Amino acid sequence: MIEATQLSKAFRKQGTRREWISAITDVSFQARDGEITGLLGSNGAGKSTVLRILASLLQPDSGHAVVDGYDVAEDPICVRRQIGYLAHNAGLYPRLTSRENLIYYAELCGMNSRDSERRAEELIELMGMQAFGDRRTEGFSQGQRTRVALARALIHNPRTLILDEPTNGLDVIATRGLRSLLRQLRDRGHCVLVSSHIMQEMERLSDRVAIISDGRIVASGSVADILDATACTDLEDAFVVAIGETVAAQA
Amino acid sequence: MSAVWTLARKEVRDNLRDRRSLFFALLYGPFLLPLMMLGPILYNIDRHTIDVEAPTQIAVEGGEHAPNLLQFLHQHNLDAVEAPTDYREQLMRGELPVVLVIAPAYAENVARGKPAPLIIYHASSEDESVSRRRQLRAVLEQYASQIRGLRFRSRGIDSRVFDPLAISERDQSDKPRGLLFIAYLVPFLLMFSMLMGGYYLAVDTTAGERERQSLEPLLSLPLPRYQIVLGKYCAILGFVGLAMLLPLISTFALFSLLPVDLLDLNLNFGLPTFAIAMISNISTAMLISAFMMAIAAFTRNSKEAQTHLSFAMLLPVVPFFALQFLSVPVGSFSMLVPLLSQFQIMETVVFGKDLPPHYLAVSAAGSIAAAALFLGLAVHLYHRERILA
Repeated sequence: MIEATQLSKAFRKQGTRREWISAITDVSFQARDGEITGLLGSNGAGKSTVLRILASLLQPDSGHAVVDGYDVAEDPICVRRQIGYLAHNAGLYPRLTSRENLIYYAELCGMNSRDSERRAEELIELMGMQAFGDRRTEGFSQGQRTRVALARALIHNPRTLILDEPTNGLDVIATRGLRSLLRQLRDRGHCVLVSSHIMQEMERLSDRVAIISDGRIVASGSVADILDATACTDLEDAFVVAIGETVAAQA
Repeated sequence: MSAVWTLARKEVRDNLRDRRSLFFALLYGPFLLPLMMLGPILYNIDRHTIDVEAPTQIAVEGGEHAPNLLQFLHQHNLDAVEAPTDYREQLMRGELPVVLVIAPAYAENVARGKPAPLIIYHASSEDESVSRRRQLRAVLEQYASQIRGLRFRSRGIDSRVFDPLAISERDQSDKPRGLLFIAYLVPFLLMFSMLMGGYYLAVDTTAGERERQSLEPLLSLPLPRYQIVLGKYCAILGFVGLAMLLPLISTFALFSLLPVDLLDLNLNFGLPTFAIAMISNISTAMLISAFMMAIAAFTRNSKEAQTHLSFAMLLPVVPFFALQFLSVPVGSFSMLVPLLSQFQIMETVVFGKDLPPHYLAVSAAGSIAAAALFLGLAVHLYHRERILA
């Protein structure tokens, strides 16, 4: 369960001392357990900033966020124990094999070496990584990298998943695989928060969405609610309306 | 704290798979560098020094005119052999060091008390020729002075009246100026090797990790940041430590292979010297690792880190040169200064002076304090949000 309340964050403009650029303003939304929540927004809308705050990597300038009962600013270590975070880029170690990448994180999360190996094996099977489980990750395809990174995010069996554009660079088959995996996790009661700029993708996957534009949440709720509110028939049109453009002009 | 161990182990394993890291940590600093730096120096010492105690052959032409001279030469370890006819060509080609030519008029002139002609052929461009000429010349002067003494005595005069002064020199300096650099060579080599050894690891584990974008997921794990810094630090320290130990072994081997007895030059390069070099540089390894870690954590990418650390390579050069040109008195205060103190400790030991044990302790304390400072800085840098950007 994630609850974000009026989060704001500004960054100093590169090369200046006093100029600040606001990345997100008053961002509030909820992601519930047993649901897949989509955070929708165009490039640069502030999705990654929101997710980084929720993963306790950035401190909000104002507002607060609570993950499974822990405040991200006050109990960052407890928050990190609850979450599996997939960053925008896979960020694997190229000189380690897929398995070694997994075991490394397992041990860093406090598992002993036997449990780590067992958990890594489990995830290699779950993600269908047998073919490249023992290969060094250097030169992996985007799909292979994402699968290893996602397995790594799941390594400590976190309650809450925060995934930054997980379908980036995946082909149709890999995307379908990922979708069914995320649904499985949802059905087991996990809270899954996924960011994306691909509307069709989110329409199929998400139970609820929050649309972010220029650092502000402009609409949130179940997909049906948003379609109703914007009087549109698909999420892409609804998104365009929600961020204040006209459908005709864009189409 | 087991996370620190996990981190350190992973970084070491990761970098053992990187040929560049391995080359610089285990080959370049430990073996190539000592060979490149010490090799020519030791070779030169060897070439410019000749052993006057060892009997050597010397080419002589016209030896039959001066049997007494040859006898004298033999007593001074120079055995005359007949010079080849083409000795001038051989000298030019560097195949012969010197040739002594005794003119046919020699015997007659000696008998009449006139200067007896001798010619030394040599080649000043050849190192061995220069030293052999000097050796031969000295022996001949001795022979001349012996004959002079005998001639004066036969006329009832003490030849010493022609030597109004008896000059002798006593060098009171405890460290031969020109040899200072030899004493500094070992700590210089060690520090340089340590910097080279930790260089790639420092870049790879901090700036490199950020560039690969593996830092963000790592920081999202339930670990305090100081443990992440410590783990990486331990890995760098492992490589730096190895880059200190290996060149100690290789330079020790190089020095002991040297045919010239360095004790003649009053230099101590025995096992105790190297043991003290190791002890005094453990704290240097800690400092260098922390320093490189902080620098690399400060930079935004690998390239920037490499540039900054390349400047850091100049660090051991500072005391190396400063101490040769400035006279920094050795004392408890100078022992507090990291890097400088390690050079001074080596100077003291190599020149065979007593090393007060507290010097080692003070030197270690100074360097470890500096290491702690840099490590603290690295932890601070890892707490900044900018570490992700």
